Amino acid sequence: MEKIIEAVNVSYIYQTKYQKTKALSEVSCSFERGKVYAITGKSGSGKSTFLSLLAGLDVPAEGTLYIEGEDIRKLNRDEYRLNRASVIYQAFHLFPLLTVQENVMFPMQLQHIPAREAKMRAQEYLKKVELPETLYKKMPGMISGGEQQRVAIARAIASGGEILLADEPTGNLDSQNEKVIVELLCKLAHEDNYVVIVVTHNEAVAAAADVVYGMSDGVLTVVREEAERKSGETKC
Amino acid sequence: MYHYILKSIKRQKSRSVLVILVNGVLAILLNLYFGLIGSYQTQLADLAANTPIKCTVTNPDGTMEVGIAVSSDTLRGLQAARQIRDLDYSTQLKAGYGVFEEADRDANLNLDVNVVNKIDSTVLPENIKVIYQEGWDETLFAGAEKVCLLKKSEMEEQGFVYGDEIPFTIFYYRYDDKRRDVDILELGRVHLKLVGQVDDSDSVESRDYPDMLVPFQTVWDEFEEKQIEFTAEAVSFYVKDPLALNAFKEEMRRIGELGLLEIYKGDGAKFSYKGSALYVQDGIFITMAGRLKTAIRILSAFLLPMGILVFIVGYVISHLLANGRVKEFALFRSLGVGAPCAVWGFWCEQFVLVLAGNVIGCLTAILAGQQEIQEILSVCGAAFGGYMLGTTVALVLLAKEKPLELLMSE
Repeated sequence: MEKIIEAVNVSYIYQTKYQKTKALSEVSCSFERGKVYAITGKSGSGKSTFLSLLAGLDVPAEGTLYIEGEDIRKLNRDEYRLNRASVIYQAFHLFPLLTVQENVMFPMQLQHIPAREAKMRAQEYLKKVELPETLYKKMPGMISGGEQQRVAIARAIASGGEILLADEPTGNLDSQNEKVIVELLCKLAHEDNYVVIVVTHNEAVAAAADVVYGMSDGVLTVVREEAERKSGETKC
Repeated sequence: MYHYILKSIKRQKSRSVLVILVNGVLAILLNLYFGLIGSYQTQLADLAANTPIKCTVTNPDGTMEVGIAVSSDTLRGLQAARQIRDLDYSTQLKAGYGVFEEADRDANLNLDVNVVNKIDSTVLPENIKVIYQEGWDETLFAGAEKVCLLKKSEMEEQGFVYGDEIPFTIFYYRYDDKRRDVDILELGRVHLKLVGQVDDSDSVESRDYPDMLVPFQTVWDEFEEKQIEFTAEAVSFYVKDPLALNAFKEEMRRIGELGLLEIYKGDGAKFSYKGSALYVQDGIFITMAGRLKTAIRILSAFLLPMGILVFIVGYVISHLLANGRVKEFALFRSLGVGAPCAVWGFWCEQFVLVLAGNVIGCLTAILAGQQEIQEILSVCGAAFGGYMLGTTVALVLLAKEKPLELLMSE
């Protein structure tokens, strides 16, 4: 499988006026297309910081993060987020002023895709995440959490990137919706060849991942490789 | 971004209306403020136009305004002065018809001559009309033509008609320093063309008025030709711009330094009939203008605080609105919109709303009709600029927020 992201000795330091905190310490790992990765760990362990680096919202203090072989420092990181990597959040973070369909159209409009085509494709993505058509014109506040997260996933895939980063995507959902979202993320990885990286506390989500990393005090360790999947655990 | 801005304006009605309203009110209040200053300035300008400041050359102790001796140098200084208008000067002479010797003057010197640079400089009783020969008018007094106007009764008595070249022998007065003794001295003989008359046929007043009017410069030239010192007996004028009273007084002082004129001080001056002081009737104007100027000064002192206030209002409101939209900003950033572009989007949204508010404020001020449209537009432009400056600062600070931290905080 092709490595799409590779972290080599990545460290990150939060620096305030009075103190320095090492949030990541020499993290090395790689992520391939077509797989779901879970990063687990306690709050404050550095997993969200690592996710923000993967999203190109900041750069490592030390070490290098390669995106398809290119140092992320040399990339136009706004363009990287616009076209190649999308983030899904625990709190969904849809634009409250836009309808469901307009939310999904938004990244495409930023890419200057004509409105008619963007609308058509948005409907296609919403169908893909199995959102009922009756909800397309609703405002995000009028639909359930599970539905909102599906819209967020549709918006993420609408940008056309192959990297899906998810920060506790099921944290605000009930178990039924949680299952739907996990299945959706797995489907995107296994069928559509996305690389899906999920930061989670949730063991069920981690269990569904192909590879599980653990993060503790900024140090990343492999918890489970793909080959180590327990018997009885099925790939979702 | 722009489609998002339009939807944001449309769907966040209360927020949009609030910004429009605040800016509308701000524009109206600023227009009221500037309107008040403008109104005081107009009143001041009107005061300057309607309360002319008359100045009269007097003797040093200010007891005499007419019958004084104002030197040629003083007259030249005043003629060249830039800060005065409507300069009037006159003098009195005696004349007689024909040619006669000084010994015969008592029998022949029977005409009172008023020498003026304007017809208004001579005070004629009511019902007295000044009639000019065709081709001549009152502007002749500003020139130096050898012409004259005679009383109608005098014309009829002597049988003169318009166009007659009449020979005169002219005499002038010379006083001693105390103006007690007067000498009447011969200026010379001159031929003056009759070009008008002072029609006294309807006059019922017994008051004396001159038998003859002659242009001032004509006589002045005659004195200069004969190298005799020439003086005017009365000089008055108006301050050209009462609002530039200091410049006027400075100019008069400069003439004074040349030994010509001093601003009248009155007390303690030694009596003389020399016209070497100036009485400036500026008391009423200074009192009234002073009040208006104080009001304008006080209001203008608030100009900078008003500008700062508009900036602060823009900053505070935009900052509060931006605080409520931090996650929206972070979401833009996380979707790949660059920080400048995201801030630009918010800025454009505010621009549209602030502009709309100012347009409403402007229209209200125009409908109120208290100020010039150009002035209203300038004020609204200033309000708009100040507010948007505050907005810009608030949004630039917003751009420093770290996006993922904000989105992951829940």
